[in-house]
Amino acid sequence: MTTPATTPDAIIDADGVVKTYRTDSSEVQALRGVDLTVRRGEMVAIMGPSGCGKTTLLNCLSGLDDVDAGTILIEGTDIARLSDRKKTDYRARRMGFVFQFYNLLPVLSAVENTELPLLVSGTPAKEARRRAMQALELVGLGPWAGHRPGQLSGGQRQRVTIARALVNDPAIVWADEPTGDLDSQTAAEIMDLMVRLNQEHGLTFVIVTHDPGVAARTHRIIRMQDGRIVGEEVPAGAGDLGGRPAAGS
Amino acid sequence: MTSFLGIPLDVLMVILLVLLAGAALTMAYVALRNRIIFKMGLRNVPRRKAQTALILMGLMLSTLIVAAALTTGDTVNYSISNEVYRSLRAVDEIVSPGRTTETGTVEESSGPAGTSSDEEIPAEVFAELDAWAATRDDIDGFMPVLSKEVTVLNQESRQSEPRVNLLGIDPSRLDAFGGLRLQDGSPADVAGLGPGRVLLNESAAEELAAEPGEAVLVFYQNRPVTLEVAGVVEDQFFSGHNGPFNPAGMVMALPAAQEILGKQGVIDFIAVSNRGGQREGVELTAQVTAALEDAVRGRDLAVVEVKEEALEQATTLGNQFANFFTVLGLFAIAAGVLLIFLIFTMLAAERKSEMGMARAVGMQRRHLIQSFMSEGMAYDVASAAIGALLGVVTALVMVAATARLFAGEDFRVAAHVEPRSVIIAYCMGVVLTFAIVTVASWRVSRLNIVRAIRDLPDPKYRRARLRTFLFGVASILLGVALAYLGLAVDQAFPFSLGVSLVPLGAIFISRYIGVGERLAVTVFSALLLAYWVMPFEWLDRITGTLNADIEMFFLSGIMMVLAATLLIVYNAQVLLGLAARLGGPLGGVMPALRMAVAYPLDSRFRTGVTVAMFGLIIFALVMMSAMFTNLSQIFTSADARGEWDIAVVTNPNNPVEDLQARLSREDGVGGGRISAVGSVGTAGAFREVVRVQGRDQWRNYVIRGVDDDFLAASTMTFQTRARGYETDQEIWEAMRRDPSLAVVDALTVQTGGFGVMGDLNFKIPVSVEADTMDPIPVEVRDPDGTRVATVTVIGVLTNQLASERFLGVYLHRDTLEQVFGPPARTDFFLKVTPGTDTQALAQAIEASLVENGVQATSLVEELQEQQAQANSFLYLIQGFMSLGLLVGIAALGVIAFRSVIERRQHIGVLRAIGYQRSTVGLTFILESSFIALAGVLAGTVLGLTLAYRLVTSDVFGDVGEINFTIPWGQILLFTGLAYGASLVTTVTAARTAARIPIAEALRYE
Repeated sequence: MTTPATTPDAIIDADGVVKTYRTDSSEVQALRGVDLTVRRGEMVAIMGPSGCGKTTLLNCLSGLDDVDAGTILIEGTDIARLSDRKKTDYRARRMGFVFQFYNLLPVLSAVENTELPLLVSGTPAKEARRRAMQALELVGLGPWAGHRPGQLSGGQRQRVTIARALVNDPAIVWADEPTGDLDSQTAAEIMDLMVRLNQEHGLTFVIVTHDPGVAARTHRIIRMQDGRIVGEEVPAGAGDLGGRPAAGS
Repeated sequence: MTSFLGIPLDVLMVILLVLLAGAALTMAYVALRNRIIFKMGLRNVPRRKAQTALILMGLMLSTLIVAAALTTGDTVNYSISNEVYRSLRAVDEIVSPGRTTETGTVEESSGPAGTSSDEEIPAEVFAELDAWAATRDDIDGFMPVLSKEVTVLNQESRQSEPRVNLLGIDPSRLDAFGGLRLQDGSPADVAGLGPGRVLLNESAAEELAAEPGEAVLVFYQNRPVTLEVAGVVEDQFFSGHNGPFNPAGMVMALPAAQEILGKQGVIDFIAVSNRGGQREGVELTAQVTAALEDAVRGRDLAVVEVKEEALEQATTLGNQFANFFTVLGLFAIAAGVLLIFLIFTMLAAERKSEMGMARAVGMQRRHLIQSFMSEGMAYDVASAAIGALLGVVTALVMVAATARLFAGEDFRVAAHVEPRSVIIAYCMGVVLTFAIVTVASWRVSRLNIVRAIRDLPDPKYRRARLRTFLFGVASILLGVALAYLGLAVDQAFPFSLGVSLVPLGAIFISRYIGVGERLAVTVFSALLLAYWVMPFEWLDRITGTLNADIEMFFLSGIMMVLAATLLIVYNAQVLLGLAARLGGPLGGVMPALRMAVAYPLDSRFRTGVTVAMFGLIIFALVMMSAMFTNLSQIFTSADARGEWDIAVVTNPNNPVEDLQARLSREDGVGGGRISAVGSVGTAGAFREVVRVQGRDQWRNYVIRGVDDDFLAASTMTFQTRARGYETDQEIWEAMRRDPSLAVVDALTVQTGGFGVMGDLNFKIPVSVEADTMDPIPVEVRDPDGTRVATVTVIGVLTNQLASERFLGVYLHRDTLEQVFGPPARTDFFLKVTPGTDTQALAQAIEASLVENGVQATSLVEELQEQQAQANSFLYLIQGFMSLGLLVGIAALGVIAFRSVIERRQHIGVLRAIGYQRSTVGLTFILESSFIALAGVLAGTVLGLTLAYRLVTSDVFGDVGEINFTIPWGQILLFTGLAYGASLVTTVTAARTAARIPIAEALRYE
């Protein structure tokens, strides 16, 4: 199952990742030694029952959460060893995030939400605005740039989230249940968009999902249970996606 | 203290207790009928401890202000009453030469002690009255007193005291008044003093640095008498102590005093003690006074209820202090009310999902209200108790500081708190908070269950509902009615309140007919603000001059801040554009700045209320500060002393006839430095001696007579001149030529005001803002009414001269003497050559004329001292008013804490997409800064605007050219403190926000 750290063109290389949540009275081992490699340009789905550690794995891989043991190399950098400041800076420049409940800031318009990662990484305001508009055009929301999240539909909000994830030209996009709050038609549209971005821009996607339909459109499906990776498979139509072949053990 | 804002305290207490009982019963009902609801409310209290602490602080402020104001009144009342008892002891009434006037007041020729008069009571009259008093069982003391003001010099210490009350009493009657004690507490033996010996009171001994056995030189009618100090006795009525402003005295047996003063066979007044002790005797005042008046009828004697009057004055002063501090505290109370409303609206928002869930499982709206009321009552009961306690402490500090400022250390502050005051403050705090919490709970209970459960924002309707329209119409109708009423009764308060309600009502109507919210609010708020900042003269042209008092200060603050706040919160998105443009220079701060402005603008209610809180308090502080600064400039300029440099007040018992000639003979003075001397004679005391011709009522006022030298040298300026007089100088020239002309000070044209200034009751029909007037015939008469003269008032002196030293109706000296005879007192005003040290010269004059007991004062120094005193009082008031800032600071703290909770998930997202911890923290700091600075800026600008309007208008009379000065130092100090403190409360919340684990925050719902 393990892919050596020296795997050519691996963008994510996790080895023996352990994460335990502790409270005053109990201890929950959320990840129990996870090894995972994802290649650049790959689109990977992580599936499993509720509480199996999918989101925790995504949070740990993306540096949103700290790990208790193991190493995580992102583009060759051990992210677990970075300081909070450097980790944050890395996220701002090289990562994009898409969440189930959109997590847009309600007080900002679509374009303002989209340009935030650029502003925070020091891009001049004008340039940030130009690129944010480009990203919104890319997801088909140019005309809605001035609207606030409250004025958009669920699918539109998720497109804004994707635009925000893309705007800084990231190496990896992390998506946690990106279609979980959408109806099936809108969910399909969002997946079309992500697949297109993967194919046309070579973006690496790591998607946590419950939806087999979503998983089926990725290159590889990782299955988890009780904090461990218990298997992986290549969806039937993966070869038709035009993406890169699955990697890993 | 008997009343608070005009309401009798007993009545107020009963009303508040009934309301409190109503609130308590409501809560008891909830607790009994819906125990779970009650528990829900109470269990919310300890959920967030830091937030609870801030809520308690905010809620207690109103109680604190009311408790402080009432306790101030109590303590002032009690302390002065104590002084009255300490000074008067068992003396309840005084019988002295004089008579009862047509208005029922008494004109006595001598005060209770120490003042002088030509009229005296013959010994045989006293003997007759004494025999009568012996038959009365309600009188237990009857004391003949000779009282003269003398000048005393201690030759050994070279210390002098120009005004010492020398009393001659009958020692055999002293026991009936409680006796007289030496400093060591042993009884003083007045009878056994022996010839040439006298007892000094403590104040006189201190001023003269005199010890028993030393000799002092006493001057009366310019004749020196040497007396030996036999001992030092306590300060009290029978040792010549006449209150904190005239404390020095000495006492001896009556025959000895009569002999050395040359007053054999006469006394000045009779002191009467009613049956009972010092405090109980006063209850018989009405009865004894009636009997005394019968007894003295036909003898040209008057009865003065000295103790009862002094106690009434103490009560009046206590009421005035309480009301004064209440009016000043209104801004803080208003801010407190806003805070309570804000807190509970925010608490409701925080628990929106819980409330939606509760409603979904069957809870009624009233249950939600009851739950909030239970929680509110828990906060309320605790915070009102803390507030009442702290209010008492605040009051005691303020009274002690004020007493030190104005009465010196001789006035003993006796801390006193009436239980009634504490009950009123506590009840008021609880009831006020309970009412606001109920309204806020009712408002938040109107929720959509689904939206509440999912914590979705309420939809914004483009068009308002019919209820809004009706509310707008009602506001406008009420506004028009109030404005009409204001015009009808010439009162600015109802007029301006009414005018202000019209644009506010128009906002609601505009919303109903579909006008955009921002446009409607902007236009009508701007109109409202324009009304309040336009020059007074513009309004006067439309409405005529309306009467206004200090309550307009509060109303203008509320309305100006309201209008400015609406303008800010509905238009601050301009700041976002500005922030975007400043993106380059602001660099790394930009992301934080964007969020810091965006959130407050999204929560307009919350932001507006907090901006208004800061705005109100800063407005009040800046306005007061700017007014004091500018008025002090006006009232310390050379015009405020009429360009005179030194005032010389003479002792009427040791008169100086020709001061200039006398000074020219004194080597130590250097008469060459004096360029002009004018004399001003004053006719007796403050009496009913003047009226505008044609009016029925004679009025009280001070009548002065100025000599030709004064008229020739005077450069005192006028705010209003009679037609035909082009310059001030022409008026003085005319008075010199024509003794039937007169001028008056500016207090005769003012209305309203605090304390004694508001009671001066001779007025002439001239507007304070008028530049010219028609000459006004005025009649003056002697107190007996036997001599009457008509004079023509041709000018009103500048308001800068409206001080005790210069107030009066100014006649020519000849006219004064024709009507009143020789003046009771003559003062001199001196001008000196440039470069003269007026302080040194005044001291030299006093030293040279020590035997006459003159008091020479450098007017420049006097004005500066008064200014320093006024400034200290200002700082005290500002300290009190700035309590309201705590409200704004608490509000920011509550908002910051609430925001951290509310935006937990947003913080997670921001951190995920690259916001550093420091940037997240900075967002909160900048957000609080935006709100605090918006309020501070609005308050500062508006406060300065109102101060400018007032100072540059004729509201304070025509005081010539004014360079409006902004007290930057003070403004920076308290705005800096306010901002700094608000940051401190935000920092904790900001740090909490920055430390939230990202993954945990993202999971938070």
